[in-house]
Amino acid sequence: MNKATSGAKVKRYFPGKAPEGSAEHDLSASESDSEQETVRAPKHGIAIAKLIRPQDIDKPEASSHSSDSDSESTKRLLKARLYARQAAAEKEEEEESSGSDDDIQQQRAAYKEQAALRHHQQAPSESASSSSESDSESMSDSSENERVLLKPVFVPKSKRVAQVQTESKKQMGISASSDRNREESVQLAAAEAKRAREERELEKCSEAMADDNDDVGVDAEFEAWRLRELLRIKRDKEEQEAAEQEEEERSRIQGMTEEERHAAGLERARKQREEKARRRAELAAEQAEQAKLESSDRATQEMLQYALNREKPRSSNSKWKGYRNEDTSRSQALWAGGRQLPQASQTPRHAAADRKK
Amino acid sequence: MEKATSLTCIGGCFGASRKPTEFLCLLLKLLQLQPDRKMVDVLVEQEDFKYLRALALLYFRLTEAPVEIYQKLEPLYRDFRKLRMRTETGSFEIVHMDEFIDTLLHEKETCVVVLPVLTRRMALEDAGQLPPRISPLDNEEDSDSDA
Repeated sequence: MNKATSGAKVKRYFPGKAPEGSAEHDLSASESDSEQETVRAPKHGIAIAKLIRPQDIDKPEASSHSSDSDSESTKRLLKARLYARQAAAEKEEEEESSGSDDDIQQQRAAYKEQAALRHHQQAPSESASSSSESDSESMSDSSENERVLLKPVFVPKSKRVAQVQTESKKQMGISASSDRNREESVQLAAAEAKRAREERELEKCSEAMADDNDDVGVDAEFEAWRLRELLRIKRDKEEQEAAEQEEEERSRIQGMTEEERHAAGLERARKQREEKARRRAELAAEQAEQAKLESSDRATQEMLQYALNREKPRSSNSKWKGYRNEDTSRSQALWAGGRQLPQASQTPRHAAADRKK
Repeated sequence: MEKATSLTCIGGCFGASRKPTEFLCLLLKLLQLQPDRKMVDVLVEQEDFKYLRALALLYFRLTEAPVEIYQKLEPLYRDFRKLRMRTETGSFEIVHMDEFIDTLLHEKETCVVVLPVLTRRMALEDAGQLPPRISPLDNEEDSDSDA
């Protein structure tokens, strides 16, 4: 038949022909076969499960199974076999498309085991009726359908990776945020505890610092109070005086006649003008002082330059160039005692330097 | 009131979190309870608990009329007991009762409580509602000068 069912005891079947061998034998065989297929079907996912749909075939039969005639049973078998073959073909295609030979072998072995197990379990109840079997099949299929109910949504290949990443990221994010929350809460609690402790300490130490005992040094306390009281009295008195002065001023202005008030206004204006002039004069004087200082500075500078020139004349400033060596008036003076003045000894060098310039 | 007798300091809020002092909390409690005048008088005039007196004085200052405030508070300038006052930083300072009363009468705010406007004493005197203040020291000086 095909690879998938080669292990099981299956005889060749031609569609449209009655199966070989006796009907009884075939019944059991076909049942085992279809059963095998239905067992295999869930493993291969949605496509096969949809393809087989054994309950579609079996359910009407189950209702009409009470007659249990030979022709009906053969029809049913035919249908079952047809679906089984289809399913097998499908499976083969899938197997060929995906998976190596080893994988196929392993899968097949697993299927065989499962099928054998099922067969052994159902062997005692096999003779009872096929309706129960069909029920169980429909049950299994309904459970299959539940899984199928999750509507497959097409996700393009480009988006698949992104989806996986986002999912993993989400998981990561959740775990990270929970960690962060925990850390934050721990930190908060620590800060709270620390603050409470600090406050308590502060309270303790400051309470120790501030002493509000009234019994110590009553006399000193009284003196201090006396001082404060006097200050208060003084303050009150000053306040009162200020208020009285203000009142007086106000009454004075109110008591004046129109001419007097005008005169007072003129007087005030005059005072203001005078004040303005005085300040302007002050400013002018200040500026003049500064200017003078600057000019005198310049004069002293010039004078200094002149003096320096006189003391040590520049070669360009002198009319007498190179005659200093010939000057005998100083070196041969009687009171000098033949002693050379330091200035005279230095002169030739100076002259030479001057000449070079 | 039991709590008020066990007060250890006056003051407003302190610390980084502006935690209110017990003094302030009890003041709020008083304002909620609204004790009648006699009760407050008793609290003000009792001598045993100075912090309770300070509390009552502040309450009095907040609730009563200016004339009564002057009449009630000025005689208490005589009291020069020490009060421990908590500053905003959480440390304590010593303030005397008369200083506290002085702030109550002359300042706009004390212990983080904004005080209601108080008519100036001079205005009241001019209106004839209040006699001029006589300090205990005035009497002393008079007696000194007499002697």
